[in-house]
Amino acid sequence: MEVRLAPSGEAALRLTIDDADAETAWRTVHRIADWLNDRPIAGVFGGVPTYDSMLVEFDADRQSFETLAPLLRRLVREALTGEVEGGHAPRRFELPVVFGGEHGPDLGFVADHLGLTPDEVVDLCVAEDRVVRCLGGPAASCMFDGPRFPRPVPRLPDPRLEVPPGAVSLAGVQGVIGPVRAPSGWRLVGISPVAIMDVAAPRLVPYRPGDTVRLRAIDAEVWDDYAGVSMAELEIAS
Amino acid sequence: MRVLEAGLAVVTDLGRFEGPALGFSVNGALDQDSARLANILVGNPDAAPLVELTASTLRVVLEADALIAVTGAAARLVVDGASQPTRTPVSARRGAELELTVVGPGLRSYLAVRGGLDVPMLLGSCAPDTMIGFGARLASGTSLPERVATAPLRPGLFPVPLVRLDLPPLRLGDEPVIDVTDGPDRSEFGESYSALFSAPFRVDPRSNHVGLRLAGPAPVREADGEVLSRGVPIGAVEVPSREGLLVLHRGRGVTAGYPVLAVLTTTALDLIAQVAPGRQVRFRRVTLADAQREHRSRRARLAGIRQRCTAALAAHGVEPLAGSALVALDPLSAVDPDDRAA
Repeated sequence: MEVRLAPSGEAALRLTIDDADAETAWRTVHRIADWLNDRPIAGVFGGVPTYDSMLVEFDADRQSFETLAPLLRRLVREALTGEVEGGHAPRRFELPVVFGGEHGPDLGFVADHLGLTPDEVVDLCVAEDRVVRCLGGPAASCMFDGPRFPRPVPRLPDPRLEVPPGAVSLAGVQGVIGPVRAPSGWRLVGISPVAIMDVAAPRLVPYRPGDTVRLRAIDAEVWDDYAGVSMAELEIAS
Repeated sequence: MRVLEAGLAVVTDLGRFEGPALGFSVNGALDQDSARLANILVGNPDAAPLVELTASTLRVVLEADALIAVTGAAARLVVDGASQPTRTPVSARRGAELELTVVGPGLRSYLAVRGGLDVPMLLGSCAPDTMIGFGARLASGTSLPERVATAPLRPGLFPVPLVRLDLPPLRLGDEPVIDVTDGPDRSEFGESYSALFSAPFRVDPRSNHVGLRLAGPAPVREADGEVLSRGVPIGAVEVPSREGLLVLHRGRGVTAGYPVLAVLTTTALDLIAQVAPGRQVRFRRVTLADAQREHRSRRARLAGIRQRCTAALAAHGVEPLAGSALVALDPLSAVDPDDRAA
């Protein structure tokens, strides 16, 4: 496995794990990010890990690519041999989602593109637990592996100027749950009536990378039953 | 202070540095150097909450005697009808009406008040985050309690500066030069990378704290295939379309799926935050070592100004902020005093 470090301006660098299977690369960058975030280093703001890479941001007055590179290389080696402890016990959430109709205007397109019926697409969406791979922009969006579709889902040619909070969207082989109203170029297949974000909570969103989310299809008629419910309350036993 | 007329103003600070690791944008003052300077001029920690005013006029009434300073874009400061200097500390009495107008060159001016302003915090920062709806633009009637009152330092009639710093005004030139270092994905653009440096780019009106769109002949990506979402740095230059570039600023979402062609230096990020839509900029390629040197020399310059200001304010009987007044502005000061001095 190769570790590639690339400067990203004088105040950030990108660490990429090459030549490893996707699961190992993902596990490694998240373990290092947890380690960095649990043991702050003077002048290092923290890591933004995603799939096979991590952005590390720092104060260029106190740190540099040259000073951080050896430390990060060592952390990767130790993460691989299990010497770097990090992470947290994974949690599991169940998220009710209204698929299709006005809540999921792209469900039909996705079904047509895949040669499936809309119901078959929903069945694949709810078929298994989805691992939270990373927290992405904007606003700690919950990025998860897409359903086992026969092929990737193309993005919208023209992004929507906004989708509501709780939007469940798909693109490529990825899926995302958006905590806030935001622009989106992904295919909107459903919306959850549950409040994803709570600005009074320490981390604002309940999920962390490594947790799992099980989507559950509900009827639009029961939308109002979820008024005032937050995702943090929907943790279920593993 | 109480706001009479808000213009486009927010209370911000240097940013939410805990945010990106949790998936949130860092945000904070877009011209960091000017924000730091404003706070330094009034004896605040660099990261104290202050007002960022964008290309407009702000009018407020002070609700306590205050020591204030204005930095950033060239601005007209009028206190109770009398013109006052910028880039230097100014005393103003309780009840005084203060009018600040960004006249340019530049887009964003900063107004700091000694002791800072009492505003809500989220993850250690008051910086507005438009995505999650935290913080707000100021509006007529908004009250921003001053944390500390500072008695007038010079009751006389003559507008003699309290400290003679002779700080230069913001200079942009006809075609501001925006320094970049090579981005981690530069090789995906092959020879066309040089297009970034061969012609000027025009700042599009669809530009804000999230990012600036720049119109011009953009480099073309040679590689194809989807890019997995990954963390993108502030200052990333991306090429979402043939017609131009996107430069990410402090409100950027922390991840994206576009290759990063180049990255603005921290100096260039401050500068481009001052360039108005419609103006042209020109990119210049610098080495990482140059960018680092420039960054550190600018911070050293600010440290020098802090020393002179602290001494001058002390000579007027203004002691450094301490105890709870300081800790409220800068929680790190309570735990890490030696580090802060560095």
